[in-house]
Amino acid sequence: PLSKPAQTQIYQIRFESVELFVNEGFKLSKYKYRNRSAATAAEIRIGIPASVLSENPDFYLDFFFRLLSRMIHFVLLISRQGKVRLTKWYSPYSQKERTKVIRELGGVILNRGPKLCNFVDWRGFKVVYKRYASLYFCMCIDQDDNELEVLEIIHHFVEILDRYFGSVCELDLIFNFHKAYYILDELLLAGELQESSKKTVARLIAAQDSLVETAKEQASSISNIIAQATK
Amino acid sequence: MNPFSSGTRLRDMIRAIRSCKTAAEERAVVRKECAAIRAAISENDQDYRHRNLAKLMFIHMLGYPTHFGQMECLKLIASSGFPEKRIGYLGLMLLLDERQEVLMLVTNSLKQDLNHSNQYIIGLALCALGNICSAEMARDLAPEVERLLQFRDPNIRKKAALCSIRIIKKVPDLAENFINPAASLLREKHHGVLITGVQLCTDLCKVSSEALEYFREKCTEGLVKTLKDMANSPYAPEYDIAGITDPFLHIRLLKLLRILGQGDADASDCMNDILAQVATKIESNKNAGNAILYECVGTIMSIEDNGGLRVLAINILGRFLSNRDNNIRYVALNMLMKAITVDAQAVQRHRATILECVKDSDASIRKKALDLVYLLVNESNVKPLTKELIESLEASDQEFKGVLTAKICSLVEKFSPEKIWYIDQMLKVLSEAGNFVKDEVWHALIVVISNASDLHGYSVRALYRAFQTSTEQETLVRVAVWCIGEYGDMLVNNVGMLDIEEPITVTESDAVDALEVSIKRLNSDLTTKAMALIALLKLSSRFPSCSERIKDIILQNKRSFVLELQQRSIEFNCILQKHQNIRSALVERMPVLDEATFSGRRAGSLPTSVSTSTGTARNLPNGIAKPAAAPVADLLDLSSSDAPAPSSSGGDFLQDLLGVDLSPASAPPGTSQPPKADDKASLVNLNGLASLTSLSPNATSASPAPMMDLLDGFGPSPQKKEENGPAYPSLVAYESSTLRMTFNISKQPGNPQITLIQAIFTNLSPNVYNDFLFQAAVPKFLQLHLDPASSNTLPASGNGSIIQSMKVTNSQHGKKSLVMRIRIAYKINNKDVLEEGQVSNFPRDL
Repeated sequence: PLSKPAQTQIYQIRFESVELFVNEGFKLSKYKYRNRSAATAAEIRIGIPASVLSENPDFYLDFFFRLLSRMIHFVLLISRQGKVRLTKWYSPYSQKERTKVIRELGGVILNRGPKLCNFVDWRGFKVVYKRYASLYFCMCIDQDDNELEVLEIIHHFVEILDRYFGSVCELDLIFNFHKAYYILDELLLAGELQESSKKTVARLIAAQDSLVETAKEQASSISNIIAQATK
Repeated sequence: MNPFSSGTRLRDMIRAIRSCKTAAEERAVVRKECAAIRAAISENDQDYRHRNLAKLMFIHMLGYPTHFGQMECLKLIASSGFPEKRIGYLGLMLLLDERQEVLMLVTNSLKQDLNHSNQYIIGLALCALGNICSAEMARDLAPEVERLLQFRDPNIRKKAALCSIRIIKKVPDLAENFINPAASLLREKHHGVLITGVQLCTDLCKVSSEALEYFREKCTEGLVKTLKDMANSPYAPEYDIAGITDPFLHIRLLKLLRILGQGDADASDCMNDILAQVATKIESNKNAGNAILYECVGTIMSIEDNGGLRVLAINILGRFLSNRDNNIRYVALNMLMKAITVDAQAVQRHRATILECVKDSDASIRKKALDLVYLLVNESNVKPLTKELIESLEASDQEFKGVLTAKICSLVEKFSPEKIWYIDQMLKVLSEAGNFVKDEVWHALIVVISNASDLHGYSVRALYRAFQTSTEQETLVRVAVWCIGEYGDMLVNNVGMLDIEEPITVTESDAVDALEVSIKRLNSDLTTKAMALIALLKLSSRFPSCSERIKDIILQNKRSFVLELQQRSIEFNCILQKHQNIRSALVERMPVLDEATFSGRRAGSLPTSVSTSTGTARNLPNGIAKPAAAPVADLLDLSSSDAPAPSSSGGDFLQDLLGVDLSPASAPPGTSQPPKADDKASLVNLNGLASLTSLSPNATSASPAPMMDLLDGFGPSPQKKEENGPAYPSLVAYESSTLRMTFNISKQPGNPQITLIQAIFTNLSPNVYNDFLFQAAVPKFLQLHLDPASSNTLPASGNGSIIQSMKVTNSQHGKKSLVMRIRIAYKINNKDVLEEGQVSNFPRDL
């Protein structure tokens, strides 16, 4: 369990120290987290007590990782009513953190007025969101990332969904949530953009869908054959 | 087949869940489904495994626990068919995170799939690896991923590139293996591969300086050329967004160029032209174009200086700032914040627009703009900017007021050119948003007012005026109440009028009215009311005409349900009724509060720095360890730095102010200070004879009597004291058959350590003493100062006396009492006589 004060202290650390922070994070991971001397070095350089570091190495490593990675940390689709329609986590968040994040962000984003900007500062990170009909598409990025580009990525994703489902609506994403995930996995990987061509994504998804279809047909034809043979 | 597991299809389950009216209904449906799935799992049912997993994923998304399905993912991944693997990997990424031990079990399956003959299966494995691999897995599977960077199908190459990013972030040691393959990806034509390749290079540069050097040397020119080709490319429908070919690639190239150009003049030089081209040619009417411009500005700001480009960039930001689109304004503010370190002058030019943004209706923009303004303020522009900020305070909503107030207070404190300006601005903030002002801020204001002796009158009048108009702001009321208590006479008599002030007529009863209002105000909190009571006590001696009324008001609180108020009311009433003689001394104006001590304590007690705030205990000379944040007594021992500090707990500065209010006038605190019972007890000692102790709540309720005793034990009777004058009875310090020495002891107000002693020598013999000389010696913890004697001849038979004053400073005050050796030499008829002795019958606690 991570201690509250430590967490807030970290959020207060200024941006210049982030690099230091991250380097120390590496050292910690190199020493397999438990190395006392690495923790002490970190204590000296970034001012987090060694005792705290070695008590919560997982938390700090996750945090270092998040700080280091200039990327999309997670993708969230929330409906107008606050129901989660899709979540994808590219940075390590424990189950508990995930629920907390969703609750917190839902509260912030759903309450924002219609004509405001699409960015929210949130716990040292930025959340870019955009509303399409009844759905809010949210992506969490770093302070340094290009918010406008992320808006474009969201739109890119929506257009691909739109093409795949043929004017997509919330119900499509509910009943075919796994397909939405497949599409997202062709678009983003490791929190980075993978493909800028909508056509290519569509082609890859179609190819894999047809693989599934063939497998199904084969399975049913085999069971037919077996059924006939055993008749 | 199990009757449960045959159950519903995925679609039916979703429908059933959606049709639930209440949360309880939904839980019931989910519970039933989960039971069925568990049953299927335990029966090792293969036919419906993928369907069950899909259901579990949906249930997981609703927030129910699904850990029991984790092993199913592994089984599906291990099966041979593509459909099973596809759903298995999806489940793996959704239901597990990298911390779970189960994940290690999948390493082997991943390895096999990375070597599979079907490229889509390789794709699935790469995707899972890239999204959730742990450091151990990264180490194990890095060679496979490295090999796949050269795979024949570009779609695998791009996945492998992003997967490599995850691997080098997890295990930076592996970075060097990826440098060469990454560089070769930069030469590709396929956009997907190019995008991911550029991204991989960017991340390699971040984790390895070796990679940075390599790419800077080998790839800068190539990247510039790629960007140039892109910028000049004809319409490409597949990648076109708003008339621009592949903005995503544009942005990633600019990002990598930024890292390569940072700190390297040659590389920066190499990219100047293309940056200028992008900055001027890209259309800014669509979001995609703006995204590129934004990235380009960032790159220009980061690479080595080129004057012309910087101007271009600042101009773009200026255009952004005046854009109607909120998103664009937001990113402009964001970028200006970075630009301020590069070219503060240029940012200052946009000050007016930025200030407008502080009043924007969008909270995100307001916050960004405020952060920026905060950076813009310096000594020369603090006045106009603060004025603007205070104006926007009026317009802002509750949530933002808190942030804004904190920022304004911090600015005003940091840059204030003169005290009167500081007081003025703080007054404005207090009247506008006093409820948002933090305690230490208004404490600081009181300290400043107390230190500005020429502004006492001005402050109290200004506060009185502000108080009349806005009584809703708690902290304003508090500061006003404090000042009226201290400087009430200046309010009424218009003392220290400044030229800029308008005269104001306040009668004594008006001032008392103000205090009464603040006590009776419904929403006043305890602190305010308590402060008002003290202020009233103080006014009772400043305004004799109102003292009856004040007594009434104080008495009204005698039955207060709030213990603190009740207690104060009773105590103060005692002072008013029984101790007229000491009252005026008791409620004298507070000595000037020490700014240095206060600010030092503030710095010490604020949790700003992690490393320094951990338990620094100052050791005082007398060996009492004082907690770092112990605030109380410092205000008292203004002159005596090495006095033992009464131990105190908590950071309750307010109690100090209040407790102190009473004491310093005539009371040397700590003379008989009993250990403090708890935070709430504020101790006040009166002349060292008795202590008026406001006991801790629990103690008071049990025994109200002792408190009265303490007060009444003040002396035999107050009347007698009036006749006797000094608070200590005179004592016969030395007596022999020929000589008597009497000490009259008194204390210096506000200085507990110092004892004034008047020695009176009386001749008991019939002979005249000539050349009379009194000498005294004291132990080390005391300091003795002897004044000259009134005479050196002592008349015979008590027909006169010699008087000599001395001053003893007790550095161990409160712990050790006075002791003194004496030697008296004189001549009787030219014959030397020497008398020696020791005085140890001093009253304790001197």
